[in-house]
Amino acid sequence: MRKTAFLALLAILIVLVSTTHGDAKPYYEGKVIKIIVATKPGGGYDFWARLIGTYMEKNLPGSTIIVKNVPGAGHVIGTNETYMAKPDGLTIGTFNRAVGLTQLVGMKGVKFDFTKFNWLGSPNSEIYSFLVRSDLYKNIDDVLKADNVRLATTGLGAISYITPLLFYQALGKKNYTVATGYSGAESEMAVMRKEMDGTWGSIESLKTMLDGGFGTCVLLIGKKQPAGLENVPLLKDFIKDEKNRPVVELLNGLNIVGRPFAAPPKVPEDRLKILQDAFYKACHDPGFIKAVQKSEKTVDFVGPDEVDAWAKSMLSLPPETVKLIKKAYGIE
Amino acid sequence: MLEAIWQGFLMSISPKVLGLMVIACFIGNFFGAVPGLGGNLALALLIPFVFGWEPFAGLAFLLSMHAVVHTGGSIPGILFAIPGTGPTVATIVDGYPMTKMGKGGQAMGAQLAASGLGGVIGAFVLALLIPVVRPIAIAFGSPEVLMLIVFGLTFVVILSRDSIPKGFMSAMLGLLLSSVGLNPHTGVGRYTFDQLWLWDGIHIVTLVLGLFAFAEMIDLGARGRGGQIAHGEVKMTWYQLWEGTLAVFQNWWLSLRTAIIGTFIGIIPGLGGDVATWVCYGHAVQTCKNNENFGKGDIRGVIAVETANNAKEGGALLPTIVFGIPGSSGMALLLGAFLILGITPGPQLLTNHLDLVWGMVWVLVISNIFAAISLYPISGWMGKLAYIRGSLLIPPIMFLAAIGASLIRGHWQDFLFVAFTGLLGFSMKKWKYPRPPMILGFILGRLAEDYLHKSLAAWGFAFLLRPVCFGLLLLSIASLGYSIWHQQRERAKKKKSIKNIPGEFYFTVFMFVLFVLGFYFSTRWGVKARLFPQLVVIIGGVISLWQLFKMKIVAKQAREAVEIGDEETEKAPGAVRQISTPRSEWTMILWVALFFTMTIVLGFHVSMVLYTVIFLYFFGRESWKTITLFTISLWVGIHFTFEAFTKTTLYGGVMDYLIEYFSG
Repeated sequence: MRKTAFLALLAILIVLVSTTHGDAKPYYEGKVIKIIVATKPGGGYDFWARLIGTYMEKNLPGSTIIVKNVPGAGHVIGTNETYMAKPDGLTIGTFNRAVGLTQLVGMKGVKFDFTKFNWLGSPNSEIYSFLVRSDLYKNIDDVLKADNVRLATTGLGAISYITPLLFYQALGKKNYTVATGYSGAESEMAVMRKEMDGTWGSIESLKTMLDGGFGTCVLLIGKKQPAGLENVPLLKDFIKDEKNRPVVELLNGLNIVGRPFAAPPKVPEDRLKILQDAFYKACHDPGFIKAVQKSEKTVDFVGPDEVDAWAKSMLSLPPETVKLIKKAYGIE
Repeated sequence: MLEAIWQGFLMSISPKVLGLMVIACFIGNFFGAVPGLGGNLALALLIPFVFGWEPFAGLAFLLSMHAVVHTGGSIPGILFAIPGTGPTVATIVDGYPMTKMGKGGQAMGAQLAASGLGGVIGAFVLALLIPVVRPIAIAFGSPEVLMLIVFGLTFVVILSRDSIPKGFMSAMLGLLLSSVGLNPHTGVGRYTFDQLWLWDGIHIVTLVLGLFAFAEMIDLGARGRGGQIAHGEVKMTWYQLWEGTLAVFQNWWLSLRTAIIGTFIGIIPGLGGDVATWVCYGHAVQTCKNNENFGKGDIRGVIAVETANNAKEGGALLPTIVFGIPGSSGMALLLGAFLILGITPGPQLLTNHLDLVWGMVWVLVISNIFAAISLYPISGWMGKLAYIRGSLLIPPIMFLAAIGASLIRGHWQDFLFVAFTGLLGFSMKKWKYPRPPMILGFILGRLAEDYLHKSLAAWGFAFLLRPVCFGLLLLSIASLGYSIWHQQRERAKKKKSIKNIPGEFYFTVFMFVLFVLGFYFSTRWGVKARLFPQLVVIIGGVISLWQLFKMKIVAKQAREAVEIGDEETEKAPGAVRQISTPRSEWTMILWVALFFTMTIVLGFHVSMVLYTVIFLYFFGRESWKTITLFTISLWVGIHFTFEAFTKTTLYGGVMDYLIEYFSG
C-alpha cells in the first residue's frame, strides 16, 4: 500500500515538473526579462530603464519586464553583472557610459569587455553640467580661482568622478577635492546643505537644484546649450588648445550616448534582433515620448551601431590620452 | 491653508480614491507579508498600471500601497521569525518570544494598532514639519548623520543584556559582515573571494532569515515531531488582540516618542526604516522601566518598532515633496511615478498644489488605519498557526524562508549563506550570544563607514566640531556611559552565577577564528579599504580572547556544567516543556542540510514535493492522506503566491539547466 502511494506521488511530481517546462511558443511569451540598472532606484538610469521596460513589454507580447537595481563601485558591479549574465536574451542592462574607461585603465574588479556588449542603443543624448553652490560662485572663472572646490561624486568609475578629474587635469589645476559615496540624489542634497561645493550631473537630474536656486550651472558638456542656459560656456569652446583635444572629444563623446542599454555577449542573434527591435519601437512610441516629455526630459534615440562604434573608439584612444586618464585615476 | 486641508480631505474620500486605497492596502499588506517580495517590487510591478490615470487617484493608490507594506510585513515575523521586509526585522526580537509564550495575539494586536497609530502620527508630523524641513535638512549633513549612527551603535551595550563581552562580539561580527562587498570609496572587493554574488554585500533579510527563521526552525524541530512554537492550548482569542491594542494606548507616551523619532529619521536621506526601527527599539529598552524582559517577549518592544516603522514613511515623504529629492529607495520609485502622473514634486508643489500635499497626508492617515483594521480578522486566524505541530509547520516555513532568500537578490548562493547563518543563529541562541547587537552592527556598520568617508572628505577631522555633530557626540558618550552603568547595576542586583554552558568554549573559539580570518584576508587591501574592517576584527578578536580567558578561570572555579534551559518556554504558564537533546538537535540540523542540498540540486518545484513527502513520512510519521493533501496544498499555495500572482520565477535548481541543455 505504502509503496503504491509513494509511486503515485512520484508520478504527480513528474507531471508537475513536466508541465512547468518546454513547449513551442514565441520565445519571449511568458518569459521574465530583467533590466539591470547599475544604480540605486530613483536616479536617471533607473527612470529610463523603468519607462523603457514598460514600453518594451508592450512590444514583446506575453513578456514581463522587471528592473533590478545593482548599485555600487561606480557602476562596475552592475556592468559586470550584465556582462556575465546568462546570454539567453532575458537579461539586459543599463549603466554609466563612462564605465568602459575603467576597463581602459585596467582597474581591478572589472570583468567585462566593453567592446563585446550587444548594444540595444540609447534613448537620449545628455547634456552634462557642472553645478556649483550659487552663494559662492557666479561663473566658471570664480570656480577656477577658488582655493578648494569640494565635489560630490558617486564613486570610482562613475562619470561624475571621471569628468572633474579629466577637466582639472586638462587645465593643469589642482584646486579641488573629490568626495565619493554620494549615490543618486544624495549629491544634490549635499550641495544644497553646503556640505559639498559642487557636483557634475546631467542637466535634467540637476534641474530641481537650478529651479530651486540652490545651485548655479557654470559649464556644459554637449552639442549645444539648452534653453535658458545660453550664456553658460560649452566645454568645447572653453578648452580649445590642440593638446587637450582628445580629452575634450572624449568628454563630448561620453555625453552623446546618454543612457546605453546592452545585452551580454553571445546572445543568440534572433533573440538580440527581437530585443533591439523592441527597444527601437519603445523609444519611438508616442506614449513613451509623451511620458518622457512629461518628466521634463527629451528623447533623442541613438542606434546600436552608433553606440557600438563609440564603445570601440573609447577603448582605442591614443596612448597620451590613456596616460592622462590613468593619471586622473591615480593609477601609475 | 485650512481650505487646502479640507480640499485634500475631500479629494481623498471620494469613492473612487477610497476604493483604490482599499485595493492598495490589500496588495501592500500581501507584498509585505510574503518574504522576498517587499514594497519596492509592488511599486515596480504596479507603476505601469497607473499610466494615464487621474493624477490624484494614481498617487493615492501607490502611496497607500507603499505606506502599509510594513503593517503586513510584521505578521510572519511575529509568528515564525520570518521577516517580511527589512524594517520589520526588529519586531521579531520581542514578537516571536511572545508567540512562544502563547501571547501571539497580544503581539499582533499591538503590532497592528502601533502600525496604524505610528502611520497617523507620522502623517501629522509630516504636515507640521513642512515649514521647517529646509532648516532640518540643512542642519543634518554627513557628520550629523554619522553621529546619529554612532548614537545608534551605543545601543549595543543595552541590547547585550547579560553579557557585555558577548554582545560586543556579536556586534563586531555584524559590523564585519556589513563590510562584505565591493567598497564604493575604493573599488576594492572586501571578503568577496572573487564571488560575484558577494559583490553586492549581504542583504539584511537574508541575514535575518538565517539568524532567526532557520535557527528557530532547528530549535522547533529539535523538540520532536510534536513540538509547537507556542505551547499548550490554543490561546488565540479576540480578547488577546484587544489586549495588545490596548497596550499601545496604555503606553501612549512611548508610542508618541518612537513615532516622532521614526518620522525624523525618515526625513534623512539614506537612513531609512532599518535604522529608524532599531534606534527606536534601543530607545525603548534604554528609557523604559523594568526593562529586563526586552528581547524575551516585552510588548513595548513590538510597540516601539512598529510605530517607528510606519511613521518613518511620513518623514521620508518630506524631502520628496519639498525638494523633489527622494529620502528612500521606495520614495525614489514613487517620485518617478509622480512624474509620470504629471505631478512634479518640489518647492512649487507647496505653492501651487497645497491641496495635493494635504491629500497625501490624508491618504497616509486613512490607509494606515484601514490596513490595520483589515488585518485584525486575518491575524486572529493566522495566530492559530503557532499551535500546529512542528512536523507540519517546518516544511512550509522553510520553503517560504528559502524562497524569500532566493528572491531578494536572485543569487542561489544566498542559500549557502542562509544555511551558514542559520547554524550560526542556532549556536548563538544555544550559547546565549545575543543576536540583536549583531543585526544592529550589521545595519549601522556600512552606513557608519560611508558617512565617515563623506564627513572627512568635506571637512577633515574638523567635522567633529560642528555644533549639532558635537552635541550628538556628547549624547552618544552619555548614552554609552548610562548604558554601561545601568547594565552593571542590573547585574549587581542579580545573583552572580558564573557557569559555562557545555560547548560554549568551542563556539567562542570559532568566533575568535572568524575574527582572525577577517584580519588575514584584509591585509592585502589598501589602507582606506582595510581601516574599518581591521578595527572591527581587532576589537572582536581581543574581546573573544578575553572571554576565552575568563571561561578558563570559571571552568577552574566550578567544574560543573548546567543544562541549557529555554527561558521563554519555562515561563509560559502551564506549558509542558518539550525537551531537546544534542541528538535531536543534530538530527534537525541534518534535516535542514538535506533541505538545502535538495533545493539547490533539484530546485523549488521538485524539492517542495519530494522533501515535504520525505519529511512528513520519516520525521512527522504522518498518514499518507495527510501527506498527499498537505504536499499538494503547499505546492499549489506557493505556486500561486509567487509564480502566478507576482510573476516571480522560482529557482529551478541544477535540474533546470539540465532540462534546458537537453531541450536545446
